[in-house]
Amino acid sequence: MALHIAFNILQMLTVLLLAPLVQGVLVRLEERIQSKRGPSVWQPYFDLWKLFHKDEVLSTQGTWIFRFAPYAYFAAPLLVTMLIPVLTAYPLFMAFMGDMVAAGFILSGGAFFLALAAIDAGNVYGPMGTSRSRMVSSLVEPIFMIVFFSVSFAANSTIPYVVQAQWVQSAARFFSPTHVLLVAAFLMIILAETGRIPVDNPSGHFELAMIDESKVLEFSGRSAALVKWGGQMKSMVLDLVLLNVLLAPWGLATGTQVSAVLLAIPLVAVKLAAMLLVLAFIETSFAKLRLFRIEDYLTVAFVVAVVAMFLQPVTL
Amino acid sequence: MTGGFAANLLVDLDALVGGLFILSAFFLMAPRQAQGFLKHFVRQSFLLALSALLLGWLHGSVELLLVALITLLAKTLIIPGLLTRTLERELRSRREVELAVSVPASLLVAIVITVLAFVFVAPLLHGVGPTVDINLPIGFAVTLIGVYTLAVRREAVPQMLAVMAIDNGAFFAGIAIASSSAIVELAAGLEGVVVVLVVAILARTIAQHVGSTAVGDLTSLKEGTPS
Repeated sequence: MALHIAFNILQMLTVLLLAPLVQGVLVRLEERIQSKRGPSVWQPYFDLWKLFHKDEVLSTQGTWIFRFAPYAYFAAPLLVTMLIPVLTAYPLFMAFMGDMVAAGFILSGGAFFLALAAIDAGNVYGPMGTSRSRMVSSLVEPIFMIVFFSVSFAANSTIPYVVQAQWVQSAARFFSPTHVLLVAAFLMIILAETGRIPVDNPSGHFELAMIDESKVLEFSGRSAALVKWGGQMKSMVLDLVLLNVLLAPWGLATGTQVSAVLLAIPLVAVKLAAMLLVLAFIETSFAKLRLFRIEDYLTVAFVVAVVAMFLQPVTL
Repeated sequence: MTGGFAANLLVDLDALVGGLFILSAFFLMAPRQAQGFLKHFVRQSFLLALSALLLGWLHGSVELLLVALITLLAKTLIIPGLLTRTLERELRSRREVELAVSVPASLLVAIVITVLAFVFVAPLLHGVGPTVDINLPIGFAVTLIGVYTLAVRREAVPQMLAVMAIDNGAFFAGIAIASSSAIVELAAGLEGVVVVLVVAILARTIAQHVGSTAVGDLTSLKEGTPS
């Protein structure tokens, strides 16, 4: 049991320390695809270091929410890593404390505080970005639920550790249309939820077009660093859910030796690298959608998820 | 017949293609510009050819391999090529296609259509092979979605591509049921090319007279001689 707690902490540390690198590699890959040199893959670490050493400026309009929100947003993905398989294929100490719905709830909780803080600061762009990102999230939420319930239905459980074994039981399951559609829907909502193209442009700072960036404009110093780091961890956690629970639960440690768990880190990193290639390809080959076309995009994701759910009894 | 492990793998891969095929039918409903519509159509046709290839390999049927080849040539090369040549300006225009029903609403209708298709086909699926299990309901659903897409587009090019998508759906179901009807599919494949050519020329004539291919606007008679 002590070992399981140690592994749990190791999982959290992995996400905490590797999330900026994941971000850095993604940015570098995108720049490379566009025939540019791009910043070093370690740049996100330098950015965080710099921000942590800067003074913080607080809005005179702000309340305690503005100071508290970065911590909540930073902690949310870390809490989720206790519930999902990051390195091990077997459930760890905290695995049964919450299921996939709880993981979604924790992530939304962090986003909720960030949205409140954006309004709290009194900046005009904050509420605008908040209302937009709430629009996207409110459309993403039902799709998340449908995807979760479909996979839970197949596995008879909502615990991510149990679900992940489900799709690789047989090749017929892995290649079934249900699985294909679920993965497609989940990938589409990951892009929407982490503010990537085609829903939002993470590198754009044009005030009238941005969605996610406008919420964090008011943060400075340590708060800005925490929000940035939290965002990086959130996208890494969602990528890990797609990889380790839905798509490819290979390479995870099955034994309880420390060496097996440590070996899982590079294996998971390889899978993540492959995923980042796909993300970079999507990011560079599509354009950002207009605000009122996001609805079309998310409806496609919704329809795909619902059809996957209906197809399940037929094709499994 | 290919036996054992390889056969299982082919069946599984066909299921994968089936999943992507129905996904492509939903993507086909979303674009608002003719160009995007054509791109998705080409992808869908490619998946159809892939499925025919897999099934042909599985059953050791030369006819199905021929069907795959014809589909690949006609639908992913000749038809897009013809359209681009005859309707270049219309196809590349950034003008948005007029829709009778908004995209989200029609996608929600597509859910109902898909579910109905699976319900209707379910009684037919007793004791048939695993590939029919996949191809027949998905092909049927894609056919019906194609009919619906045809009904809500009010523009010549997307309408024509919707007709070809109906064709795709019907073929997808057909290749699993009968593995030796290459003559019919050969004829249909070539006919498709002719249909596209005729409609493309017609659409170009309409475009020259009216200024666009938005056939939804052609509801009233025009007085006088066309310029």
